[in-house]
Amino acid sequence: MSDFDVATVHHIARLARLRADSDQSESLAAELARIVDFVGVLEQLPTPAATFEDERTTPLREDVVSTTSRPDELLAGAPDVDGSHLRVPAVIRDAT
Amino acid sequence: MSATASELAAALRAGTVTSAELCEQALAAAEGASDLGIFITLDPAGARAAAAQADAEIAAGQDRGPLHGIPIALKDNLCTEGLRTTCASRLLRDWIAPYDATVVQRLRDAGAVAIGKTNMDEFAMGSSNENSAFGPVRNPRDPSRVPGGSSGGSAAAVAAGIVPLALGSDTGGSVRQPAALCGVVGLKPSWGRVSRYGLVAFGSSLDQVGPIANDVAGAAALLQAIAGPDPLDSTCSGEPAGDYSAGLGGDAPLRVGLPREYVDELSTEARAALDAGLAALGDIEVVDVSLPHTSFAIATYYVLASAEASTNLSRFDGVRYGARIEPGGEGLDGMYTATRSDGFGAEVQRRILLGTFALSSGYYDAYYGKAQTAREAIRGDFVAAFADVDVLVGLTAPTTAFPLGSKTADPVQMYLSDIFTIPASLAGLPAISVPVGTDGDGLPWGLHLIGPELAEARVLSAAARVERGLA
Repeated sequence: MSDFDVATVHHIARLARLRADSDQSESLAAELARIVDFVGVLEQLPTPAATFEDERTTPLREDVVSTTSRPDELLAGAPDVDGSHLRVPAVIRDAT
Repeated sequence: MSATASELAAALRAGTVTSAELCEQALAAAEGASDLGIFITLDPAGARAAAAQADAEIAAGQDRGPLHGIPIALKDNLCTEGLRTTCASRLLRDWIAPYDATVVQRLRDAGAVAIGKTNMDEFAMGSSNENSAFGPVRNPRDPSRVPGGSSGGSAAAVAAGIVPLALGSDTGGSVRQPAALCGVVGLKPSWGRVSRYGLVAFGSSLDQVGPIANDVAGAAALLQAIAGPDPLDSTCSGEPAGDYSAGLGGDAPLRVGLPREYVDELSTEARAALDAGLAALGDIEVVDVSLPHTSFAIATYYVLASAEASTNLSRFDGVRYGARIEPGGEGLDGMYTATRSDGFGAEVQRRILLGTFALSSGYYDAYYGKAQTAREAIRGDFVAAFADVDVLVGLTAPTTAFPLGSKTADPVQMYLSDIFTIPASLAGLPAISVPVGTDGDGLPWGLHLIGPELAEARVLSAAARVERGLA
């Protein structure tokens, strides 16, 4: 897939909240281009491909109230907690 | 320990050994093999307490079944209450789950003695166990070679004789391929046969927990303990578990399908291993079959699994789990990016990027949509084949264990290691790898047996025939 260039890497990395440093983005673009080329074989798939009946169903269970949440233990695994709240850096930064 | 789980269970009941002794042997063996990088975390205190309890119960006449008092290892993507679950990632280095995975709880209920958490490819992404923040695992058969992945630590723990049983997880071959490369038995159950509750998610439509064992009976006993409906996982099948040990001695005539797409490209040596496996199966009729969409399988898998991974791993954002990197002055968004970029290794980032790309505007139909269509076609191939045969047979991996570092430079070459295991994963079918001799360097081959959906008992029975045939 020839259009997987450095600009695409930056765009996708931004969507995925990953850093694409300028010194890495060229090699990353080449690497991903090779993978995307490889998965490009899917374009050769005849459509519509064969289909069949899927007999699987989602099992249902009784609608019974149960209490399994353990907020203190769940919060214990978080990096920054204030009482019963997860604390994060400022979402909206000071304009000044 | 080279004894099988059933031999150890008999010895425990005969009083010739105690669970405490087995536990100490396993812990000492794990310490002794530390150069192989098999374990991320050992749990001597928890293991000794479980072993002491098992000994007391067995002495009092209480019998929890075939796993009672048996040492076992757990892949480090299975949540364990009070003991860290790292997924071999820097991001979760110190994260402790607030609950046990359903499979872990079931093993505790069965009286098994968990000695620790095994090394793996980070977030189960890899085929060589070289993508771990805790360093690679080495193959006990030849430490210069990889054990396979991603459940490389679990397969190596069994192959090294540390434990007779271990749990792994399999998304595209991550139980079966390392089992093959290490010379042990590994089973991927049908998707939905075993609860995924508490298994850290990679590709949710593919992930399945599976047993690794030093014999087929051990794999059957371990599957028995973990299989069956779970109200905590709504994707777990409502069908009750079968009896996985009852049919292990069976030798009725079997129609065996040999997919030409799995044998055409085999090397002479690989073909000889496959033929040895077919001969060991005994009374069979071999049928030539075709799975015509096989050539799309790896591409389909890497699009779908990566797309699901990019979604599943978005939860690791520095807010709720594990480590946080805060560059300062860059706000919430900067924290997300810094935490994820520092916390995830190269292969995980590569797959998140590929998955994000496949799901992004303008590319969704070309990649994700096409891959979904291909997946249906691949499932259809299997449905058609199983109208005529009982099991499908091939090799688990195209090569035996390869040297460390030999494939890390080329992701696509690494992905091709899973060419024979991925189709059954995409189709959600049960498949097992059972040892079938060695190559000229003494490295094991694995025979791969695939069955129809929920036919775990059938593939286990067929694997037991191979095991007996080669004994």
